[in-house]
Amino acid sequence: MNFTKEDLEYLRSLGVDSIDILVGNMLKVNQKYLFDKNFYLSVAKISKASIEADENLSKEEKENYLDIKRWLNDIGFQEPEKMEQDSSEYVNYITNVNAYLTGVDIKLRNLEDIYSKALNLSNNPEEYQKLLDKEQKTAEESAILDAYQDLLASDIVATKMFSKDYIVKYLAYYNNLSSNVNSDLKTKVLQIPDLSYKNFFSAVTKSEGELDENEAIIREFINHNLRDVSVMQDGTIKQKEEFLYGVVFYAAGFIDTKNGKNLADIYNNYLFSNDLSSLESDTYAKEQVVELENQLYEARKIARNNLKSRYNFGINDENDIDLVSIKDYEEANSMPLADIKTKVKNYSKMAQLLNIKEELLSKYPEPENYDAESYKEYANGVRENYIDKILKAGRPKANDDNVYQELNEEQIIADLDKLYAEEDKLVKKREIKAETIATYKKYSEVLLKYANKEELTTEEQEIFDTIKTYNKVAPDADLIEFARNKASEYDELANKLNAELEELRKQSNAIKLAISYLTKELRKIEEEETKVEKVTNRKDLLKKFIAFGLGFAGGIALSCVPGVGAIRMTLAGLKLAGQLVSIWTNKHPNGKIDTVITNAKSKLSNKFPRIANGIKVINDKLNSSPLNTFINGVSAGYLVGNIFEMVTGETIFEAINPGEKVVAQTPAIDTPEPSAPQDTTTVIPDTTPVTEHVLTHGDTLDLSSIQQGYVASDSSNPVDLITSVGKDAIFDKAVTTPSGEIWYHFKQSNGLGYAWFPKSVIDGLTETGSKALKF
Amino acid sequence: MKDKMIKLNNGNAYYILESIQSNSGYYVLGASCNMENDNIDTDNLLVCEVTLINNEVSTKEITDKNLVKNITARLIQKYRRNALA
Repeated sequence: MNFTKEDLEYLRSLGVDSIDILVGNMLKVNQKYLFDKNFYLSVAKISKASIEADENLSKEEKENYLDIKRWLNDIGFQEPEKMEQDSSEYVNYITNVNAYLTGVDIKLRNLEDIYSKALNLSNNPEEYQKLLDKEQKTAEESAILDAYQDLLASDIVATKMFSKDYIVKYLAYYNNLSSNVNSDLKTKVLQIPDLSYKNFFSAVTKSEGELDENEAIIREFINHNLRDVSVMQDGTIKQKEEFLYGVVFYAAGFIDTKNGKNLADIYNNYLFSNDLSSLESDTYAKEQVVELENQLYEARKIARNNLKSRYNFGINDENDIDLVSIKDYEEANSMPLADIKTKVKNYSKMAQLLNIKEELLSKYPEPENYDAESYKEYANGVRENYIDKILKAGRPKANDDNVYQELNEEQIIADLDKLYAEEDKLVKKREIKAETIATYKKYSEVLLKYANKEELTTEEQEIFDTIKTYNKVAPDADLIEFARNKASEYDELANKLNAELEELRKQSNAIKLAISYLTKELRKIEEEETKVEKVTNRKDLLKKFIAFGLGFAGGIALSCVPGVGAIRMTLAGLKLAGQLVSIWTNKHPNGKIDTVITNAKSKLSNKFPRIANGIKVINDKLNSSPLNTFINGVSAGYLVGNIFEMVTGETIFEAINPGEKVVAQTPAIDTPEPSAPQDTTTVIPDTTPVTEHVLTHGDTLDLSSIQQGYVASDSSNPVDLITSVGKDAIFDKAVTTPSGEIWYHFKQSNGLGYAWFPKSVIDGLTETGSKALKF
Repeated sequence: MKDKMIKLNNGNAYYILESIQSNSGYYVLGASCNMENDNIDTDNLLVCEVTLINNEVSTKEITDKNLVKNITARLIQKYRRNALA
């Protein structure tokens, strides 16, 4: 969809704001998908129809691709009908797009200066060679050479590309002059005084009418002996290039023939070996070889002239100016100052980024100590608060303040109303104009009929009488003369009105275009609204993922760093997922239970409304989906950690940091570590059997009520016991572990090992009996 | 003990959210609250053992680190199962 300048002006005159915004939005394609030349080029290569039909593309990808296509179309690169690689339209389209994108790319990278120098270099092969051979190159010179290579790759500058076939072909043109074909034309060309390459180029590049006599002769020769000059209009770049090379070789042939030389062999050698050294003695030959070389560059330049203007268009396109700095701002913002200074290899880029960084840092100083994560957070803050809010929003276009505004539904609907009303008016105006034109034509017809003395019908006679009365024709006037004059007058009027009608038609078209464009945008906004819901879902998913990840990591930590601190830390990690529950066992001082209020739940809402509310909050937290995910993560992590430990005999942390002892980690985000419980006594590690316990070796106990115990293996997990075997368990020994815990080992009555139990478990069994604790 | 409130001799009070009977003892998940001011700490929960020694019922910190992990997981699991039922 294309608005012409006139269309836009007309629509603006109607006060249709959204059109300007739309034009700005088209340009925003660049901003939205961070301009990448190669990506844009590959999208350009796919036809719009295949993008739409491609089932492998996601809906979002499709939209992105089509946006880029639309953007290219709006700039003026219309997709050819045949998107086939061999078709000349396709080649021209892609080469033009490539040139334009290269231009934009250069501008976005702020390298216009370097590239314009590289471009100049391409017109000056000697300079180029000199620079290439230079041993100590400055940073700028290297950059220029890189740019030159880049331009070469984009087909923008001329280069020498000869294969053997081409050399044979071109030398045949050169030698063609000695044959007798079209000898008349040949003689005529040879008779031209001061024959030069320039004559030949002019002969094939000028339009027919501008040619002088000599150039016309040359063109005729070329038309007959090479191919029709029209290739310069219709041909692909490659065809133009080949054609112009042919012209150069013909020119060389003529110039040499005129000078009485034949340098075919010399050219052949040079073009193959690229070696001028054997020519040192022959000054003429050397000069001619260099000249030929220069002219071939010239030919290539002419063939690509159109391209270069495209490329320049890319560079100078006013509409893209803002994109440069926004992208650079984002880049400078995402990198720490130190990184810009050390990691950016391109000096001019570095200087530019440093400049921007300085501005950003003056407003938002860098955090003193940061890691990748915290820097990202800082950079996000700057982007949201400064780049997005102030720079993007507050950066008006040179001629249009609205360009970066978002289109909103209301605006579009208001504009559409305006456009429909205007369209109605235009339709009426056009009807009236068309009627008037028809009337004038009828008048003129009647008048001419009268002037030609043809017989008028009654109706026509009436018309003629009306005209006479209306023009107050004197009775004695020459009616035939009057009729003839008046007829041409009415014709003129009709023509004038026709032109006006044409103008109205144009306005109508602009309006129709705008209506269809705005309707599409409106539909897009509506689709966008439904999309927002999906995004929300995606965010939820992400939250879940984070919760699971935290749990997983926590589970792994738990598997090798057992302890309250670890539990508190991992559960507190939920804060990041939006929920916070810490669980403590030692934060609350032990005490004797004095009062027990039963049925508290039913009393709560009356007596303790805030506690009741708090219970609900806790309930929500404990049943929340992130906690659920988190707990699943913990068990998964715990499992993985334990399996790892079982298989390798090492904890994961030991495996990661060999030689380092794992210590419970102090969480950075939460309340201070719990103070050590006051009643803990320091236990000196001792692995010898402890004798002062109540139990002595050989005592028999009934352990059948204990369903789980520990067996001697690397695993610290309890195992299910066959409880009948525990009926007559025999106390074997007690061991104090380095952490101060006392463990009892029991054997079965047949003397085989049974299980290990913590002292507290056995104490509970022997002293109080856990069943007594039921309230 | 689920859904009961307990008050200790040291002045602390807890709302018991969940309890489990295990081979090694009796454990509860509680939230610290203040009955006088009608306040409850919803951020820091308590996991402890409840013991009966010399006919006195007391809360007791769980010193076995492995036990803490298991008990906490089981208490939360049970709480959630009950809440869903």
